[in-house]
Amino acid sequence: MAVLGGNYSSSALAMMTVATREKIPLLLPGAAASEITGKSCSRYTFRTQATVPVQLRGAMPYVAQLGKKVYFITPSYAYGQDVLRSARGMLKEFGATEVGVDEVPLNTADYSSYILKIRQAKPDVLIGGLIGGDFSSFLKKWNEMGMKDKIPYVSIAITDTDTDFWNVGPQASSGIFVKPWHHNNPTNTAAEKQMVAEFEKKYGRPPSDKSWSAWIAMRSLLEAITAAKSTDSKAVVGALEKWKNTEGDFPYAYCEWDHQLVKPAVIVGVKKQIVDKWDFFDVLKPTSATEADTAKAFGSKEEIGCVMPAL
Amino acid sequence: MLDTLVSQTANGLVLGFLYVLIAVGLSITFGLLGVINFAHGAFFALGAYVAYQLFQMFGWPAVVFAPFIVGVMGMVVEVLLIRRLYGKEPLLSLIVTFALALLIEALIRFFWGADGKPFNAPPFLAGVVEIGPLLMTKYRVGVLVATSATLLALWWFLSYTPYGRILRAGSRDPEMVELLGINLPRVMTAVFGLGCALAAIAGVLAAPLWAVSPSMASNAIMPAFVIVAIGGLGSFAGAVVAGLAVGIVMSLTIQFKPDAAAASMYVFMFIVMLLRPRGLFGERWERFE
Repeated sequence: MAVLGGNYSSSALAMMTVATREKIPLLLPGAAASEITGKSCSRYTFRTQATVPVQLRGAMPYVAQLGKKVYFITPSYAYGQDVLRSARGMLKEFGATEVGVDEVPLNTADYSSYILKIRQAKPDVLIGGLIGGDFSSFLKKWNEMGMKDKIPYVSIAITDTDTDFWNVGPQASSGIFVKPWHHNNPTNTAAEKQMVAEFEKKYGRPPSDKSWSAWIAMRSLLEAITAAKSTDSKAVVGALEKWKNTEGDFPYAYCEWDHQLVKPAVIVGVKKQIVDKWDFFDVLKPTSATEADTAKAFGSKEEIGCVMPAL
Repeated sequence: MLDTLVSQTANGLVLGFLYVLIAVGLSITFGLLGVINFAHGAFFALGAYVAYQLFQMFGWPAVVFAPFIVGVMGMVVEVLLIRRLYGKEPLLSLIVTFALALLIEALIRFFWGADGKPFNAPPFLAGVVEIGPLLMTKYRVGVLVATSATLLALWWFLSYTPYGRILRAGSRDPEMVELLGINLPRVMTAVFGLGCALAAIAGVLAAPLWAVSPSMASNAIMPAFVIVAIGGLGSFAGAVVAGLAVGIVMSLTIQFKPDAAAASMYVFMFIVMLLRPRGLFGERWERFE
């Protein structure tokens, strides 16, 4: 009666087509491409992951503090192109300039040549969007070539999950990242803290941000089914549109006109000294502090471009 | 610009040496056994994982045993499976070894999990070496030395030792070798084990450089096939020259057109195949007829 899943934006867009045709609610805990809740939006699709522009806007003030000369290294597919396009559009606003860019093919194993180029360009800060194993390979090489403490790396962590850092270890980890959620954030709600405790008890390690994304998506679905007192697709969609979480400092919900979960993300920085093999980050601040700022960060209906059809 | 080219070329040579080590094992397996081993990348990944496990249990010195362990695993696989492919059509060996590759990856996931493993360069090889425009990490210098030593040892073994001569004779005329009283099946087993051990050496050396994950085999097998095709199937010298050339081509492409880097080695292969279909050092294949 509902589907929860879809990590890559490309697969999510394909799943959306089927979900809309079959009239099945689809909850996407991953997938950050703008068009999912933009021009390709669907009445049957709900997304918890914030878009690239929203998370970048949270990161850019930190970039501006680090310096004005920016180098981009992004993966060469939809998500990476979204990062590059969105970040470039914000440079002027923050007084920064681009000194170099590399769009890297997926599944690149060796980053040494790219790092040589970055070193030659002498940027103040590196904005990245590398994903999964590519990101792990990059971090290892970045550390190995002595760049870790020389040029700060900033990225939105839509696909750089906790597991990517656990894969490289404390020695090679560095940077500032925007994440949907962090397990050790002191402002986590009681329900989130309980989820963390139960997860650690069962799996011997804390939940990653991806785990939280799936958890909140499933929670919203189950609460919507309970509220609708039905598993009928239209009833569930209607209940999801009315769903709201009021446990935090301010409530958050799926936006009525694009089904995007409107919730602040959290900005984290890799600790200088990592002593816990599962806890690599210091929580710096949320991307927005108030409900109004959060809504503004996610954009207006005209900016997003979603025209939601009838059920 | 010259500094840039020198740096990237040097970087490409190191990358190329790693690719050579991956490819030469594949080339030997085909050259001496006539089997196209699609599971070669899986043994590369196995080398990395066994090295990681040995490091966790016994520390850095134990890592040197990883290739031997994987070589023995390869010999077991040869006895149980691969020897049934000798003399059969190449498509069969491709299909069977492809299935073997999937099996090995599944076993890696089963024993070590789907997540990657943190495995960085040893502390005694940390740091960088800067000589003028050249910037290289100490670990990569170590990879260069280790790979060169391995290739030299392999060449010496195949060219100047009695056992190496038996291996090469067995590939040319297996019937005559058997008539001379040499246990050819045992020789074949050793050759396959050697090919797997070479892949494992490459995996051990690559583990601190690349992400150690169950899917790392694909990062090795595709360049290996490209290099073997460019160099010529079964040619040791071809694998060396082609590997270095591919490494340099990729590094220079990254410098000037990074989004084409992944495709560059295939374009290079395409050009070589057009001009010389058997590869740079390929020979006409006469055995198993």
